[in-house]
Parts: sequence; C-alpha cells; structure tokens
Amino acid sequence: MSEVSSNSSIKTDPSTFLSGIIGSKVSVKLNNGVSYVGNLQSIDGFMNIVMDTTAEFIGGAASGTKYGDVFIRGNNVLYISKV
Amino acid sequence: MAEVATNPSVDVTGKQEEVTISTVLPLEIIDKSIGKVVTVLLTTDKEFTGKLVGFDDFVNVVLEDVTETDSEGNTDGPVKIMLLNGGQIAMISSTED
Repeated sequence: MSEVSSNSSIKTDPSTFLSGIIGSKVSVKLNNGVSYVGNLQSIDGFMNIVMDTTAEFIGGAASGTKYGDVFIRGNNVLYISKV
Repeated sequence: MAEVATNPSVDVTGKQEEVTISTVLPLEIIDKSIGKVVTVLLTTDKEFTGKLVGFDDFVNVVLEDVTETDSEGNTDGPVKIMLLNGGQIAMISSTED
C-alpha cells in the first residue's frame, strides 16, 4: 500500500522494527502467556524466531529454565519487544 | 485521501445513472492514527494501549510505551516498544482525536 502519510517521518514499519532489533536482547511473549527473554538471532516474516541464551518466564516470574538456542514457531507469538 | 469511485447503478425506472461513492480504505484509517495513542483489542479479551508508530498489510502493529490489560483488568508494562502480531487483533481504536 502507499506509504504516503503526514506522519511518515516518525513511522516505524514492522519490517524496519525487526531489522533494527536483530542482535538485541528481546522479550517474546506467546499466546499461552509464557515469555522468553534472550538475544535475538533471527526473525522472518512469519515471526518465526531464533534466540540464544534464553530464559523462560511464566506469569511474569522466572521459571528458572534456561535454554541455549531456541526456535519459536511464529504462530505462537503474541508480541516481541526490545528490553 | 478519500477515493471517489463511480459505479453504474440502475434506479427504479430502470434508467442507468452514475452514482459517486466515496470510499475510505480501512488501512487509511489506521494510517491516520499513526503517532496517536491507540487501544488494540485482541480476540483473546486482552488489550494493548500505546502510541502507534507503524503497521503493515497484515495489521501487525508497532507500539510504543505499551500497557497490556487482561480481561480481569490486570495491567502489565509499560513496555518501551513492541511489535504486536496481527493474527490476534480484533479492533484498533484511537483514544485521542
């Protein structure tokens, strides 16, 4: 669609946001309420996500479970945020 | 902004006449909300309120300074910036004009 907007100078498209947070520490919340915090290695248009040094949070509290590399299938992702 | 489409229509006398219909695309409405605080309702009875900074054709949205509210009114956040998956979005409404 057209990107013409009076607010175009402050606009951050999803694709721009994603390319800007590669390599950052991110929090990924799933539809089931579980969050994963880790370094974002890769993400695609389906919101499939690969992270490393990942910690699991259930109901906002650390579950104590840690993972090395994690692949999350995009259909489970509610949001991804920079931390 | 609003596009004007001309559609032929038939009136009660059976005579063809040109009727102008003003259309506003749904995504134009969202585009006009960029930079404003919006509330995004999900299909799961959750809602996210924050400043809309961008979206795409799937209505994935980028929000700033976001608070998350569940169906019982419990809030979470604020989160500085997030990309919210469009798959669960039911409605977006601007909370300022």
